[in-house]
This record gives sequence, C-alpha cells and structure tokens, in this order.
Amino acid sequence: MSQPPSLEPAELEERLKAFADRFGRLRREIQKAIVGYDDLVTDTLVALFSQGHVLLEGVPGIGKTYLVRVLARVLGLTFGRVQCTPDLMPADILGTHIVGEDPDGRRVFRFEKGPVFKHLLLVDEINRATPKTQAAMLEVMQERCVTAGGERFELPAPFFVLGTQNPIEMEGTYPLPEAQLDRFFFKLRVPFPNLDDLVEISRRTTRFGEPELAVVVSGTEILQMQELLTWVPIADPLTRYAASLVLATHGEREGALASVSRYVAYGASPRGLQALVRGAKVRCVLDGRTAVALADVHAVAKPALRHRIIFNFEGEAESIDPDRLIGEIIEQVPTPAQGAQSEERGAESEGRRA
Amino acid sequence: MTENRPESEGRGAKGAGGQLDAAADRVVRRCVAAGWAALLGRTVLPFCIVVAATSPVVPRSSSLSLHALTLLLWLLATAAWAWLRRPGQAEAMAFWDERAGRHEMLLSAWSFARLREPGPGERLHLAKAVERLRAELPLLARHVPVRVPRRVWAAPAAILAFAILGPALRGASPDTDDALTPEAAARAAREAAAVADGKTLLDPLKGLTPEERKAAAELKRSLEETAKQLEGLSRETPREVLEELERRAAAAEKLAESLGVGADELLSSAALAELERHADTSDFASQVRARALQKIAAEAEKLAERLRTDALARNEQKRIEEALDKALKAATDADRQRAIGKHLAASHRQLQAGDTKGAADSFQALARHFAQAAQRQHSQRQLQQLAQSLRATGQRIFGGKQAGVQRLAQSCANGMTPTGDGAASASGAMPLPRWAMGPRPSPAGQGAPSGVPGRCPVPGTGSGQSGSQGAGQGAGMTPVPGTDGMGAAGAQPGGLHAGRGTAPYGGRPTAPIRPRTTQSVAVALRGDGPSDVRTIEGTNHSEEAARQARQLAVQFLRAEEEALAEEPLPLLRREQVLRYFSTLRRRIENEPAAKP
Repeated sequence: MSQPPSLEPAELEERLKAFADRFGRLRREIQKAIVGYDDLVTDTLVALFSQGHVLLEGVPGIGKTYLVRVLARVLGLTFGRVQCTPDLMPADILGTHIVGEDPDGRRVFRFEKGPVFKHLLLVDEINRATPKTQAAMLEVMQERCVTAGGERFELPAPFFVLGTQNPIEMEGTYPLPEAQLDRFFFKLRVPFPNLDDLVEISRRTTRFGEPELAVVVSGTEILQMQELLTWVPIADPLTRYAASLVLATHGEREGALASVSRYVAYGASPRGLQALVRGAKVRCVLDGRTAVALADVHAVAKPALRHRIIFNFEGEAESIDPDRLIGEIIEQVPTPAQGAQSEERGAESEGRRA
Repeated sequence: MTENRPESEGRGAKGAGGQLDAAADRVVRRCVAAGWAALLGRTVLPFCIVVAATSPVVPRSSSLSLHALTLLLWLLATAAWAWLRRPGQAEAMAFWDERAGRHEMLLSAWSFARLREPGPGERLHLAKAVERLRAELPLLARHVPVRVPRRVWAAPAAILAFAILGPALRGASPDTDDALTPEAAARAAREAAAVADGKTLLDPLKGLTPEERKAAAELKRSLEETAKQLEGLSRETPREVLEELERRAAAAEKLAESLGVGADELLSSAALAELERHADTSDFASQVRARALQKIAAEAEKLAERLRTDALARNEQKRIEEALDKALKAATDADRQRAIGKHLAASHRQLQAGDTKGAADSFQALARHFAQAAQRQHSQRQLQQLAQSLRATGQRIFGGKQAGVQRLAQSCANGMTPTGDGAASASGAMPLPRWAMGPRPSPAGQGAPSGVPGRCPVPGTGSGQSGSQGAGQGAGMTPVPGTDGMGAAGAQPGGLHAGRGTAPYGGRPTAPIRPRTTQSVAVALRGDGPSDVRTIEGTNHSEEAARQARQLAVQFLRAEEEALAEEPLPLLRREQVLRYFSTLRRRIENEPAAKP
C-alpha cells in the first residue's frame, strides 16, 4: 500500500473546515431545486464523498430522477442515464464492439462505450432489468471498470451510481440479488413529501423555467475531498463498536438478538462495516469534529445496513422493517461506555421500579 | 509521513498520553466510587433484613461488637465487589464522555495516544482533546457524581438498633447460673403434674421385648422422681432443672430409637412391582410400598384367610403362586433374608406343594410380624411425644421463647450422652426411619407429607397420614394405590399395573381394577386341555388430554408455515400460501376457548 502524502494537523484542520463549508454550499445549491428531503440530500452526498453508490427507493413521481439530475448539475459531472426494462441487455449499458473503419479504410472492431462511461450514472428502475443485466453492473460498481473482449476500460473518476427502484410495483420485476445490493453504499428511502413541501413543489415547478444552479464543486475537487476523508481518524473502541453492530445483524451467532435470529437469513457483510465507518467519517467532519463519534455511526447505520440484512421467509412474511431491527440492534449492542455504568444503571432502574 | 514529523510533536503525543492516562485512572476511581455507592444503596435493605433476622441469635455479651463487625464486612464486601467490577480506562473515558456530552472525544484521544505513529488526524484530535481535558477535569465530580443513597445512612442506625434490641427480641431467656426465681419455681410446681401425667404415655406400650419393657419401667420411675423434684424446687438453677428434663427426654428418645423398625424389613422395588402386577397380591404390595405396617398386616391376614378357605379355586391358588413366584424371582438376596421375604418364600413353597393351609399359616405369621411392628411403631411415637412434652415443660416453666429455651436446653445437653445418630436436636427431632414417621405433632392443617422423599402420600393408605394431610398438600392429581410414585399431575392413566390411574386431589382414589370373571376354555381342536382365562374390565372414568385440540392445531399450522420456507415456491405464491396458513392459525389462536 502506498504511503499517503504528509499533512500537517493545522493544514488538515483547515481543509476539513473547507470540506464542511463546501458540503454546506453544495447542499444549499441542491435545495434550490429540490424541496424538502434535507436528510436524503445529505445522505446522498455522504455516500458520494465516501466513494459509494446509492440505491434510492420510493414511489413514482417524487423526484428521485430529478434529484440525480440536479446533483449532476451542481457537481459539474457528466451524467448518464439508463432506463431499465426487461429487454435491456448488458451491452446496452456497458457498450459493445462494433465494426468500423480505421484511417486506412480497413475494417476493424472498435469498442463503442455505453452510458456507463459517465461520472454520474442514473440506473432508473434497476429492478426491472433482468438478472443478467443487473449482473453487468457488478464489476462497474466495484472495480469501476468495464472488461469487454478481453480489454479493460477504466471508468472516469469520480464515478457514482444512483439506482432507483419502486417498492410497490413488484409485477415484472427482478429483485436485486444480495451481491448487487451489497455494492450499494447506502439504500435511501425517498419519503412522500409533506403538505408544505408539496405546495412548494407546485409553486416552483408550475412556473416558467427551472431554477438556475451553479456548479459548486468540480470532479477534481470531489476526488480531493474523498481523499481528505481518509485522514479522519476513528478510535479502536468505536471501530469495534461498529463491527459489533455488523455482527449483531447475523442471527446464527451465539447471543444474537431473538428477533434477528428469528427473521434474518443473512446479515451485513464487511462492506457494511466499511460503509458505516466511511459514512461516519463524513458525518463527523460535517459536525465539526476531528474524530468519529458514536452519533456518527448511528446516523449512518440504517442507510448502510438496511439493504444488507436479508430476511428469511418468516421475516418476509411478517414484513419486518429492517430499520426497526437496526434500531433494536443499536439499543442492544453495548456501547463503549456501558460497561462503566452497569452498576449505576442497575441502581437507576431499581429506583424507577420503586 | 511520520519521518517528517517534528520530535516535539512526538513528545507532545506522549505527554498527552500521560495526561490522558492519569485522567483515565481518576475517572476509573470515580466510577468505582459511584458504583460502590450505588451498590450500597441496592444492598442496604437485604443487609438490614439479614441483620434483623440474625440478631436474636447473636450472643448478648458481644452483640454490639459483632454488629459493628458485620457492618464493616458489608462495607468491605461491597467495596471489593465494586473494585472487582471496575471499568477499564477506555470504558471509564467513554462513560465520562457520555456524561459530559463530548461525543467520545476523550475516548478517541485516549485510544490515539496509544498509537505508535499517530497520523495528522490523530495528532489534531489529541491536541484538541488535551485542551478540552484541562478545562473539564475539574468538572469530573459534577459529571460523574458519587451519590450515596439516603437510605444507606440508615444502615448504621439500624445496626445499632438491632445490637441493642436484638437480645430483647429473643425474649426472656433464663440466665442459666442464677438461682431460680420464685415465679419459675411456682410454675415448675404446676408443671410437675404434667410431667407425672407424661408417664401415662408409657402405660400402654405394646410389642416390646422384656429388655425394652424394663427400660420403659425405669423411665417411668425416673419421671416420677423428676415430677417430685419439680414440686419442691428451691435452690436449683434453671440449668439444673433443664438438664434434668433434658436427661429424661433423651432417655425417652433413646428408647424410641431402639424400637425403630428398620427400612430393611421391607421388599425391594422390583419385587414389589411384581406383586403389584398381579391383582391378587396388588393390595398387599401397595400397602408394603406405602409402608403402612398395620395395613400390611391386614392385607396379609386377608390373603391368609383367602388361602385357608375351602372354596379356594384352583386357578386362584395358581395365580397367587405365580405372583409369589415372579416376585421371589425379582427379589434380591437381601429381600430373601428379611422376614417378609422368608414368609413369602415359605408360602410359595407350600403353594407349590399344594399345601394351601400351610401357605395361609405363613401369611398369618407375616400378619403377626407386621402387627407387632405396628405396635412398636406406635410405642415409638408415644415415646417421642413424651420427649417433646418434657422439653415443652421446660419452656413453660421458664416462660422464654421457644428458641431461647431450646438453645439453653441444647447447651445443657452438651456433655450428655448423645441420642440417636447425632442428628437429634434439642427440638426433639428423633432419628426415626423416615418412612416410619407417623403423624408428628405439628401445627394443625400444616399437612406436611411424611412419606418417602419423592413420593406423594397415598390417600387412605398411609399409616394415619390422612389425618395430617391438610389443605396445604397442593392442588393437582395425586397418585393412587399401585402407582410407582412417578404419577404426578398429568400422568397418563392406565398402564400395566393394576389399579393405576390418576384422581383429582381430594376426590376418591381410583378403585383398583379387579378380575371380574374367571372362565375355563376347552380347546376343541388340539385338545390341549382347559385353560384359565382372566378378564380384567376397567370401570368408567374420565380422562383429560395433555394438550388442547386448539393448541395442537396451532402447532401443526406453525409447523406447516415453517415447512413452507424450505419449499422452492415463487415469492408471490409463497406469500399467498403462507397468508392462508397464517390467517387460519391466527383465527384458531384468537377464537374464544370452548367451554368444557
């Protein structure tokens, strides 16, 4: 592993502050076009700066696609869109070899790049693509490259996939396999807007023209900001705590929560832990801290783990909400502070009983 | 990266580490103190209860010092417990961070200070954390307060109160070496008549050997002497009076012990099971298993009469012979050496030889043996009653609480010949064989079962046990004669043993099933001769299923739901099938229970 360039603490502090400022500006710019959804925008940006991909889940017509388009505009990145249908083929996304002519007029095969070769890729209604086509995204999302005809094509950096899926129309869909889900850094739920937001949406979208959006950060700056986050430290006890959260999603382990044992077939993978830690680092910088805290881990636990918990038949039949399960896990897994306060807690609970 | 780091920064990190370590130690100590205070608060009530319960038995002279020592031990024990459960440095720092709302700042810093080569992020955090630590260390007491619950302060007061009041609580225990008070002497004179009456318990002692009769007569004479002494007490001390009474009680217990009928007088369980299996001997075996001596004698007598009658059918004789044969085969060598085994073997031999009268005589002898044993058991109980009566006399004379007088009697009994097997106490616990213990004088309605451990007493079969069975026996099903003691509530009725079944407690026990008809069948085709046929018909009885039909249905449906998980069905189809089963199960679960 190569050594990162040296950095002085004072310089790091300055750059972390700049990161938080720029993040705030980015958020404000997006909110010029997107009404409400503050948390959704923040979580999407957290995933972006953590070099992760996002799966957006929500009913049709609530602005998922629009959010991605707005994001592309304020980030100053190239934008590609794939509308998934059951007859979509991998080559339609990745690209294919076609017969062309070289300058000498000879016929040769050349690779025609697909829409995946963009910085920001929107894969709309990803669960309508067949498993074969979904599988084509695996290498793209993990390796950030495409291999075709024995040749490897690197994707532009930064590369960011935003998939959307509709949770209510299940007819004619192909649920994403676990491996595919695991490659999404966050799964974000897009809630339906409340009354005030709906009024504001109506006001903004029924007038002539669209809001003018400025480019806040460039692709290069995004890469620098992503790299900066590697300097943000996390203490061992907190890493252990995050790992305990991930382990607690596995029902087959001894001492697992009863509900986890009952409803969960497979728990989160090590990628889940990476998502927890990297997401927590961004949160930590946004809150002006210099090291990751428990609150940061908790803030990203649900988006990072909810799609990595695979329910068994009973869990599916009972429609168990993964967020509720993660909430239970957070409550049950002992924090680093809990060993020290067991005696006092015992006394407090006794007092409450009295 | 780290090569370029100035040395001052490395020293700074080390210095920060030292400060953080020192702070962490301080927080640990604070946590221990807080934990100790909380533990004191949680244990003060149980501690006071224990002290209150034991204070009456603490010697009066050392009451205060012992109570102070107890208090000290409690404090030390809770402190040691709190120290052993002390948090680590990391836990303590995390705890303090949580209390101070610092978002694990110091915990992270403490962790980074341990890194060999901290990066710029870690160094930045350390610098900020140390600055914060300096500002907030004086606030540690506010963040981690040591709150001693107010009730803890009541403990020393309670201890002092118990130390003073404890001896008073134990009642007016007589000072053993002081002279007898006139009141006590007057009470002794009144009790003399009761002691003299006690000898009437010895009058109808039956079943004793000449030596035992002699010992009983000696005891009777000494009781008369004691009664006379009690009438004229003047200079005696309580110790002397109690010693005298205790001596007589011990003598009564010793004689009672010599009358004990050993447990080895009866048959082993295997042999009994064989006898129980046969209807003709099952009543007899049930009484032997219940160890009801008088009833054993009665059943043996019945068998003797049955064998003696001229109308004894050949097949009946064969049945009894077969029952005895199987029982003796199942019997151990020890069984055969016992009186009951010898009589049964003799009876069996005579039945084999066709001498039913001789067999009847053997059963008659067996009946006499057990009748005598029952008489001895009765005498034993009377002697035991006498011993208790003598001790109660001491209690009445000195007017103290029972515990105080018993303790004094025990101290008086020190140096005297130990009674029984050493397990006997001054409270009159007689080392009788447990099975032979009859209705010991006990508070009315207490209903303590007095059978063999692990066996429920059999209604109507114990030696007078029914008299002591009160409402305290507990609800449920009670085994009936013929059960092997395993028939707890919910036991399956029926089985191989005659008369097996369950009956609701308090109800009439299931009547043993008896052979109703005896027929002879002549085999026409092969001409093998007549055969004996027994038909055992059960009577009508109600039974209760172990599980309700509804529970069973719910369990089945649940199993079907689980089985669906293994089926390779499409998701939508699977949901549909599951919904069907789940709806059915919930409907069954939620429907009101059917009225019986």
